[in-house]
Amino acid sequence: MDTTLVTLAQHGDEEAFASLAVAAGDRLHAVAHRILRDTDLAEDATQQTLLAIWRELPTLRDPARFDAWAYRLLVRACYAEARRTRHWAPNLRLLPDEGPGHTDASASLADRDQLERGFRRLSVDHRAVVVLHHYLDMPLDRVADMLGIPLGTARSRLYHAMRGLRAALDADARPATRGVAQ
Amino acid sequence: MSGQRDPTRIVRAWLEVGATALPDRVLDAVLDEVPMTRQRRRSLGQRLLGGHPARTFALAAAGIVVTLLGVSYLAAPNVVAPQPGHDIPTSTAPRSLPPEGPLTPGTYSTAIPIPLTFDVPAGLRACRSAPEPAVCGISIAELSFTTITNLVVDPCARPATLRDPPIGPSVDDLVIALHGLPGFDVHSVRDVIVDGHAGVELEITAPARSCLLSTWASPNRINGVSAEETNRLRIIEVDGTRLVLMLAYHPNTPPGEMAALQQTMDSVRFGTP
Repeated sequence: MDTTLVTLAQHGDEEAFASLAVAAGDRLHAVAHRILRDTDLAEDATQQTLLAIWRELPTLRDPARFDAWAYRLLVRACYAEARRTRHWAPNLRLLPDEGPGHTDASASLADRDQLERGFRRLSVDHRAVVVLHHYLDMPLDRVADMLGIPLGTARSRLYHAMRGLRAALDADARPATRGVAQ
Repeated sequence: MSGQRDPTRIVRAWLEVGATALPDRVLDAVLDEVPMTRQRRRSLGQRLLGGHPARTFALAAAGIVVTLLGVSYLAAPNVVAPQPGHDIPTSTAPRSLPPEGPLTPGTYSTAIPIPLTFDVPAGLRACRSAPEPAVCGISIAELSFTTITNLVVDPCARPATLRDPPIGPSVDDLVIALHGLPGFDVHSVRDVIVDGHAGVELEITAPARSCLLSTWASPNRINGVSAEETNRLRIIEVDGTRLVLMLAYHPNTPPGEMAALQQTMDSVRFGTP
């Protein structure tokens, strides 16, 4: 991230912030989408995060840490969205195939159904660790730092989350209930 | 059966699927709202103190002390209240830190690795056993000022081999690399502000085993540690230099000596007055 843009935005430069928002918006939205597993919720969380970034930017001490700080705000927004809504837990909506990995044979349709179900059973705390570590390739110590939790807690959350997802993958074959949440 | 497959790979592939672009309407909604949204400005106290909770606490404590001293002065102006840290004369100009020898309490400065100033209480001495300047206690505990350019691959290997490619230049690069130093326990990680510069403090403890342990390289040497030694590192970016304040101690370091070295570490400010 361009720290000059961050510094300018910290001092109220709206154009600089617009550039930051364009640059960071896609990445933030992608992470929110994977944590919340819902397009509308992810859009709301990203919007709230971008506004929080603008509002709170003057309090950011080190512009070089903008990315980590922004992800921390995003995860907080995801918590808030998850608390605000109640309907997504029991429902299932498959995400559209628009990522580069959708042709990977290792994640078959059946796997994806089961992973979707297993992931939705996880708390947002656990989902955040999985997404930051396995989607953003962030080392666990940085994940812990970003979420403001001890490294051991991050390890524990990742372990339990992956154990749950592994169990979902290993579950006996069952009909995939591909419903649509509304 | 999926039990024979790699679940991590499957989860990673599954996470790749999903939205990757923020719709323009969401971005537009944000940018429309920005002109009507006030930024939260830092208070004067936050700007002075860098907003760090420890510093905020320190200011509050200092305020209470000043208030109490003022009240006691007004109530009994002829009574001199005891003042903490009175063994460090603050009115004297900083002296250059000598290479070795006892230090009289006061303010000292060094130009290596960058110009910095610090206050030394009673009971410490200068101990430039390595090229970097250092302040020592009576035991082998010491506070040194250094830079770390790379880490060793295997702390027990002789001769030491450095990582190739070397670690990156940022504070985070070093923090992450330290977490991967084989056999060492990294703990007590927290954000710190040192004289207005953001950084990270962590402690890294050597294992209790007998091999000669090397850890990292500074421009002039490779650092070695002894079994069960802990290095409290404050890693700060100062004008393009990744400075490391290192307080090295052992389980049996006397508490008074540890406190004196910690007091010195806490007093570090950059530049020379």
